[in-house]
Amino acid sequence: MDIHLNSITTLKIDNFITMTDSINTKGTILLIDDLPENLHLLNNLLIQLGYTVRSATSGKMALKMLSVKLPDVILLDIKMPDMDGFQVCTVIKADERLRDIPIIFISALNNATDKVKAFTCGGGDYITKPFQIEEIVVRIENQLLIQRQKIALQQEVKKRQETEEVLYQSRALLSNVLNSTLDGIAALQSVRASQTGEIEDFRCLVVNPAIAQAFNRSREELIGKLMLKRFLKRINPSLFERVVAVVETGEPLAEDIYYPLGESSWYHFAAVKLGDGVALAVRDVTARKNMELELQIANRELRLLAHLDGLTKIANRRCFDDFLQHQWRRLSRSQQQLSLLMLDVDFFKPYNDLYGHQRGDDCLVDIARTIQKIISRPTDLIARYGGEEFAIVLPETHQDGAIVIAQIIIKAIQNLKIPHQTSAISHYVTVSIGIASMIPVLDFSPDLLIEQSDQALYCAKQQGRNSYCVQSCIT
Amino acid sequence: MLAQLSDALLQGETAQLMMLIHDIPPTQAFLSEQMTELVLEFQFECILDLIEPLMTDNH
Repeated sequence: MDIHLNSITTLKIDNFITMTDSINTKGTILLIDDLPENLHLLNNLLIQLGYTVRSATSGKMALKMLSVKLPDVILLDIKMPDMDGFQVCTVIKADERLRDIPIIFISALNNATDKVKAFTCGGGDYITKPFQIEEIVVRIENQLLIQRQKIALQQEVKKRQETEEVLYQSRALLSNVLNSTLDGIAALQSVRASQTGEIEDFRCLVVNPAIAQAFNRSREELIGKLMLKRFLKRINPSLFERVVAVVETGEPLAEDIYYPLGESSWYHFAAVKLGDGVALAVRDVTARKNMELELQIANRELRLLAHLDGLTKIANRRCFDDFLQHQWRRLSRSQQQLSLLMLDVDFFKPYNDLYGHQRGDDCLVDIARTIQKIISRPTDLIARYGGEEFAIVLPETHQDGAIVIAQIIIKAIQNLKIPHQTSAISHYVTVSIGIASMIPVLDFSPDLLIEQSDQALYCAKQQGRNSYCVQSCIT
Repeated sequence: MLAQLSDALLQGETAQLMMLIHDIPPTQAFLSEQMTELVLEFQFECILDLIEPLMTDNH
């Protein structure tokens, strides 16, 4: 080049400075050509078009430069001394770090063999000299585009791999949960009649080992099978229809079903809508159910015990209070008579002293049993009021009726002929009865009735025992 | 300065190199001219070969 350097230097420098400042975004190109004039031409043209351009006059220098910084595209001359373009390309493509940089060969060689060689050693494109700058630019842009797409694709693939990994993990977790849970879990799809669209049965999509075990089948035998209808009908004729209703209404179903199988007999069965089908969860609740049943029985016994007198097996005081309160309210509404008899065993303390408490207890049991036989209406109640006192509640009974009952009781006790040597009035055990009758008034408590019958009882005792007295004698 | 020059040579960008040459004091006009000539001819490898022994000496 015969240019007077001094004169153009300053101009060129200014030119370069403004250019590099304003661009650097279109991409970096490494030019490799042994001829400076070739480099010159491309260098200037490409810089003007907005590319960052790096230049090297030999393959050796180019490789040195590549170790510092990577360009986006390499434009590579084939015919060079020492190391030709094919060799440079081969070295670059063998380098892990460099191999992804696209290489465009530029050459005056225009035979197919060279072109094929260029592509087989890893070249991305081939430009024949002489060239138009437009062609160069289009081919560079092509390579840049391919490169960008490649990177985007790699990122996409990486993202997908990560997503896949996450999916795999969560699927593994889910299947672990499904496989290890003791509950039977199944997902079923509705099988509908083609004509009516009604659900005919369900097809097994997923079953876990626990449910397979309950069916005594392998999971493979169950998946894909239509078997729910037959199975549910066997347990309970309406169960299948109710599961169908779950799908049709979306309302979940949960209930305990009885299905004896081996050691288990009770299952909690839950069905929830899942798409056009159901998810079933079945849990063996035999132990819980048995406990519940035992509890129910125990509860019934307890309730009974709470209201029974342990010795005489008739109602206890607490039951009496509740019952009287209830009748008091009821009869005050219907304005009917309520009668109460208070009964006391005569000379019971001396009886106990002489015969002992065991015989005393036997005596009370006999008396309770005797009165119970007399009080036959289901609406009446006989209760042990305390010690040797009994209370007899007679709803819808007038004083006259109560007197008749009292007379019968006194007579019946006499007829028992329980020996009583320390009784001041008889050889046998006798009782005294106080009678009170009234139409209950809500403003008062039933204690009023108790009080009056108590006073009547006191009166009967005063009268010499083995007799009854009615409330009227007090007033 | 030499390290900077070496870096710029390996980057292979003429503009960058021109800026460095621009910083050479006017007293060294000859060096500046010679360098410019070499840079415009893309003889980066040549300059690099010249300065590499100097740099190792510095070490």
